[in-house]
Amino acid sequence: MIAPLALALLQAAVLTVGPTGAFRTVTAALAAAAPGDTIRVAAGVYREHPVLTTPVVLIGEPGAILDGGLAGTLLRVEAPATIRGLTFRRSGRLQAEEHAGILAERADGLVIEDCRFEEVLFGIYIKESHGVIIRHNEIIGKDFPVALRGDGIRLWSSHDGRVEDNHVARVRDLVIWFSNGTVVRGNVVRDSRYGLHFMYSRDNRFEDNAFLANHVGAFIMYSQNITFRNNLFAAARGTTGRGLGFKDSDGITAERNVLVKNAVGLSLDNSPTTAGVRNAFRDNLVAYNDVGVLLLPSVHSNDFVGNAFRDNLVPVRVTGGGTAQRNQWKGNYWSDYAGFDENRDGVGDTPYRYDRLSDDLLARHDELRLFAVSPATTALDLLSRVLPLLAPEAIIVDSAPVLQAPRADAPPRGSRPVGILLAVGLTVGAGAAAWRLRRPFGRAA
Amino acid sequence: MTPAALLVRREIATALRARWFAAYAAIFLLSGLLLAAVGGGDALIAGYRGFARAFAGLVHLALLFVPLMALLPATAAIADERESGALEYLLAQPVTATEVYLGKWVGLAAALGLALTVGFGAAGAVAVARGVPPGLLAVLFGQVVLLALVFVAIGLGLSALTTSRARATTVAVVVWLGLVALGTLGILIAFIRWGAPAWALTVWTFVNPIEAFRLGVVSALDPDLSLLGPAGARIVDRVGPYGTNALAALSLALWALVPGLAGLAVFSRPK
Amino acid sequence: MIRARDLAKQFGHHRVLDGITLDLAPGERVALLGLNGAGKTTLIRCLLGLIPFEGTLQIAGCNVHTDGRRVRERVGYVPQRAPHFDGTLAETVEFFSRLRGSDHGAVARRLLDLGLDLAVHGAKPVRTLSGGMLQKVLLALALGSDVSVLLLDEPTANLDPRARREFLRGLRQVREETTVLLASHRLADVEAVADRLLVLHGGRIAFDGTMDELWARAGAAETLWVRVPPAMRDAARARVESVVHTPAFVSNGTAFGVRVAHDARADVLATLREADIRVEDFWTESPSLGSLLSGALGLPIDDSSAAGDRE
Repeated sequence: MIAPLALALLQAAVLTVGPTGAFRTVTAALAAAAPGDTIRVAAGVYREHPVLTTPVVLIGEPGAILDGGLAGTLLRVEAPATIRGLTFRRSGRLQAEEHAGILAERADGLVIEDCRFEEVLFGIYIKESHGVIIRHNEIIGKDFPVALRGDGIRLWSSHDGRVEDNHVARVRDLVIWFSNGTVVRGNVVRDSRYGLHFMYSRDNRFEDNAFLANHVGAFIMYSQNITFRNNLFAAARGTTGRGLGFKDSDGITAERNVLVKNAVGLSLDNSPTTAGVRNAFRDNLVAYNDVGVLLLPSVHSNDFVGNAFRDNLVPVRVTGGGTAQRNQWKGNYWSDYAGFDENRDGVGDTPYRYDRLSDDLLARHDELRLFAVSPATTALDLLSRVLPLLAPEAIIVDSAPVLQAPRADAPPRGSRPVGILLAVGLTVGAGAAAWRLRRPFGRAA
Repeated sequence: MTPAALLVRREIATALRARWFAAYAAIFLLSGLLLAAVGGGDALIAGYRGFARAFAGLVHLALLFVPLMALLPATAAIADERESGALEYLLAQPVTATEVYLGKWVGLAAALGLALTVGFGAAGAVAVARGVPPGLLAVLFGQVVLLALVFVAIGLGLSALTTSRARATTVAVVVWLGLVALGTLGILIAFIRWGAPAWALTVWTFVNPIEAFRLGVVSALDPDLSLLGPAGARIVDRVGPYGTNALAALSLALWALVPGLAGLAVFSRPK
Repeated sequence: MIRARDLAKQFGHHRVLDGITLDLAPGERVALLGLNGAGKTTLIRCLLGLIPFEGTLQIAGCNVHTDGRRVRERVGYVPQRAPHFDGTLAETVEFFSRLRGSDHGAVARRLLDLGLDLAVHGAKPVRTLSGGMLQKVLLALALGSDVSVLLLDEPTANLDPRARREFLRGLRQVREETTVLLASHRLADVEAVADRLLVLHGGRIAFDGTMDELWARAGAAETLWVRVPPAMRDAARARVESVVHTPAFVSNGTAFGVRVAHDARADVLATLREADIRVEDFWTESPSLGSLLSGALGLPIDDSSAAGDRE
């Protein structure tokens, strides 16, 4: 095994592409290359749609650009190559034909790194290629309405891949389907529809990724043994906005993630779905969301332990109303907990209990969410405090609420002296004006 | 100085000297500072700042008190002077009823605006110091002022329509309760019990100035209105995020004018 | 100066003014009289353009309906009771002076003439001032801009006698060419100010003439009280009744009274002297304006129905 490879490397040639190179086009170099050869592409714009069928190392020097002229797929890959440092620009725009920057099929062990994709429909599209590495690429989609865009990265029936340190923006989704054993680490996906659209896959790990300002941060369906660790899910807004969502998935472990400023931080639908399986949500920070955790009515057997629920408008909601008590809530921090800790063991003396009447009402009737933070619904809550008869069943009870937020946050940042001066000036100015205007008459006498 | 300008200056002075002005400025100042200190600068988490507490606090503070505080002096403005005879004496001077009425309107509006500026300016300074974007604060402040103007107009209109101060105040409190809570609760019940159409909820939200204000504030903080569920999505779908803001502001602007103008029509048409 | 034609005003079904036609010349001093509810205040409010009315009304050549502001520039107005304005006296004086376009100094001087020094009282809040002071202030303000017409709506009704005298004295400052219309219930005020009397009744002007003519119309309206020694009382009564042809009535033991015409008082006393009846004392008691009007209007004399003193 090793000897032939070493032999091949020894025999490997370097083919240069460019105005002064041996080849004028990438297509020509690829046609001439033998397996194991290296093709170096000099700076310049190459208007061609090459097809890679030989296992080569294709390297773009800084400024080497493949330009598709807004037609077709830029580079087709059908061999386990390494592609590095190239810029792929202006693919076609037809979703039906899956126009992409790189479309790879049956190219096990393909490596794509340090490449840049601009104005492409799909960025990197991997079909039935196992052990692929996609690392440190930058992918920016076409400036289209989201439904007309393609996926930044699509991994399809491709097991044991690694997607690391990529930066993906303004695409439709990042898709991983039918792909087991994938590791997704250190990526940033922003301003897209699904930061991660994940289905029918097992044994995947997601670590240190950031999903920012997508419609949905990450959505996991029909999958098993999924681990999310140290990810950031932020600013997923819109009606369907979710930081992280699970549907029909088992064996979830979510630890030390931050879910902040989403319409819904975490949503669970029929997960876990198999009897006897439990999902674990530990030490996550759920903050500043409209709804911290949204559960569909039948959801049970999830363990929420040691999480911090901080200043969500609604910490936990059950769609359609009702209780979330068939899950375990224990030892979490709740910023709206009003109890005390007399014995100073860090745990509140009374359970944290969430049973707001208005939230129950809004959960039962979706249309009534129009009246979120209305004084009328606040009046209802006051009423239910006075008349316990009106109070709904507790949505959650945490028997051992933690008093100290388990994570230290950045403190408020003092800044903007001009704004402060302006505001102080307003007060002083208004006060002075009021003082002067008090006596417009009668000075003469 | 023209009679109109004289009247305006007198009304401003009268309002500024009234006990309510100092009380309001103090209340706005204290509550604004408290709010800004407690919630104005939520910690930065992963580069994101939460306004939930400050926002909910501001909305409720503004919605509960600003309307009432505007209504009470406004409803008393004309009824008071009518009772004391000052109004008739004033109208016997070379002025028109329209000038007298507009003088009261501008005077009250200016005084309330100043009281709010005193309070929110200081609170704004604290909030900005704690990291709240000044632009957002400016939008919110503008909407609070607009809300105050709405209830000055409503109060003044009621004042022109009613003969005694006691009755004007009673009507003001009823209107306030109706707009702040009872009306919305009624709609909620109608929806839950009798299946009132969802569009009625939306219409009410735009028509009721209190709810329109809330919509404007929510829209300023969250242009998608994702907080407001499917109804919010439909609104954004129909008019877009800026449209929501503009419609809410339009509703407030209409409220800030129409009741006052109705009162003017009644007041300047002698009986 | 004031010219009204078929002036009418209706409140609901009640026609308060029912065809007033009237001309007041510049400089005329006119009293507006009438029983309670006769419409005096309504007429004044019409003149000020504060309420709509039927008919035409011109003041100083301006149509009250269409040109109310210019009318009010030419008309000074003193109401029955000064409202308690917000702020100090100086502020109030300055505000209304400027509103009326009057010279602030002139108003202050006039106030000084009326015995009110702004330098002393200016800083006082209006609500601490007495009613008399306030009425003087309103009078000074009303006169401030040399108005053509001065409308006084029972300006002394709420004043004590001294303040009332001072106010009436102040009215003498009014320029000769200013037309004064004084609505009043007080004979003394009317006598002090007016040389022409208008009586409103039934929505119309029921009388327009001088005081003497009103007395004549009313007939015997004054009461002459005479005190004689008790023994002579019955003789004296018979003697007097033969002269005045009306029954005398007795009061407080020794005195008796008869209603006499204004100019017949001397006759009564002469008769008694002729009969060698010693008159220990005599005095006349003016009728209330109400009874005078009732007399003039031919209504049954009933002081309680008349607009008597309110104090």
